[in-house]
Amino acid sequence: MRYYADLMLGILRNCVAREMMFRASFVMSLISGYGWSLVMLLFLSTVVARVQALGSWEQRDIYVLVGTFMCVQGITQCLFETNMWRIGSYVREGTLDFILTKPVDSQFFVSARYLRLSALGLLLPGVGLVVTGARGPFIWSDTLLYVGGTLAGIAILYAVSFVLAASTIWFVRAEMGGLVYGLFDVMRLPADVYPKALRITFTYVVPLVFIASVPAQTLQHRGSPLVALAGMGLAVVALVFARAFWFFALKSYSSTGS
Amino acid sequence: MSADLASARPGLGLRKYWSAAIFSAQDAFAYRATAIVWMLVDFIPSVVMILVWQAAYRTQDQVEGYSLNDMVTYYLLTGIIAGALTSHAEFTMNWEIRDGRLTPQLTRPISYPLLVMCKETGWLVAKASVGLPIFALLVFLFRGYVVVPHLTPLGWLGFVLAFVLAYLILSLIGACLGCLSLWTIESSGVFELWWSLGGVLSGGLLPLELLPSALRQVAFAMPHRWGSYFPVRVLLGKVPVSEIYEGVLTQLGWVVALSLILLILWRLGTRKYEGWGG
Repeated sequence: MRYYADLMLGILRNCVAREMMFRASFVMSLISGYGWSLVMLLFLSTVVARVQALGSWEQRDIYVLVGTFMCVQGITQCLFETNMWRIGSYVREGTLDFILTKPVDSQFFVSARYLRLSALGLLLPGVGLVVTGARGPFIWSDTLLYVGGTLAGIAILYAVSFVLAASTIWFVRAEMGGLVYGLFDVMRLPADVYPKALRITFTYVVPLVFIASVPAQTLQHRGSPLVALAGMGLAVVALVFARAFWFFALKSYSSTGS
Repeated sequence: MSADLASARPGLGLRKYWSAAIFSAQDAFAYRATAIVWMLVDFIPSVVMILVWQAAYRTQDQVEGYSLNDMVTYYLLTGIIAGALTSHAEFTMNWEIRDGRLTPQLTRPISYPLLVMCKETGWLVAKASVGLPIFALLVFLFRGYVVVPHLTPLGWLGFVLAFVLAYLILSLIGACLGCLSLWTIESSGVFELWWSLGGVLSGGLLPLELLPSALRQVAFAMPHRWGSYFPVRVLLGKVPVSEIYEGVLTQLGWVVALSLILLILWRLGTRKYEGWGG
């Protein structure tokens, strides 16, 4: 464990130095990180302003939903985004060979080698939106379930991104990791706008509703604690599945490049 | 076969650019899974927005003159047209400048920005081709809502012109953005910011009539709306024929202005370029 902590510290130092080389781009990345989330906030707010409520979601619930997703997105982008993109190039260029021979867990290395620190800028407006939209009274159990649910959302988003990125071992040039960007819009939506078939898919097959929608409902005292707990259980299942998927995919890796 | 195609037409100095576009399209078709993935990424937001509007229209029939059917058709058309027109020359230029791959290109008898734009065009053709079946599937799924365009022959001609000019505008914007990397080396943050704002200003997020008034004024002053938004509105029949041609002239004006901006940025930028990496 100590070994991995030291490794993370080294990675952090290296990434800070890298990002500081291009300071202007770092600042722009910081600002642009807000872009897509604020765009979705603008969209949902405009729609809700014209129809008063979207299903059972009012304006302030939308703030909590988008704010929660911004926090999840900020942390996952900081920790994993660059890495997910690079998995495709490791496979295409054959450099995955070198990673597999390093004295380190291969899933850890391909998932954590690079940090995108500018993405953490999303946390500030994200928390701000959650605080603005949160409904009183303050209830400890709901808040704890919200924090747990959000952490579970981060784990689920990592697992989904990782499985998509790892599938490039079969679809070498497909850039499957890019699909996550499309799915971001799905995750940012209130669960009840989906038709029944899609809602079932995004709850039980690819559990995207647990990433932001379920935690946001919990904080607004509208969700069932059991559903929030189910989200945490699903996060564990998703992580185990992602790990099994990685080793399964590695069996098909045939060192295409180098 | 590729050599035959590449040496076909047009002739003169444009042949090398034509070849670049053809090779890029062949490459994209050979690895069509990538094009499918990116077309899906372009369509998912449109579908998501349709689902939100379906939920919103449960309580009313019209929003700013748009019925639910108009709205569904608007987002489906925006998905296919924006997906087919939006090239990302800026990311290619940024990558080549950052890695020093631009340096050998500068010694060749070509216009580098034009070459990148042509390569992107080849990629877009492949992307649009794989996008059509996805679009057809979505039209089938939302068949109860889709409004079939009814345009006069002049309206159709106006649409074709608007479509081609929209492509030029979006390509030139991409190339102008790409030139920024000549100064900053790494500009992907600027691009992301530009395109997230562009999603709003180009009508990809909402029909511009629905934007808050201050934002709407900004959108009407910027070139974005002459990208996918204008051709989509023409196809929806929301622009009278006379206004279509006024719009086409405005698009032409933007093409000229952006070409000049590109020329200036490229000349100034290459003087500043230091040739990192390589």
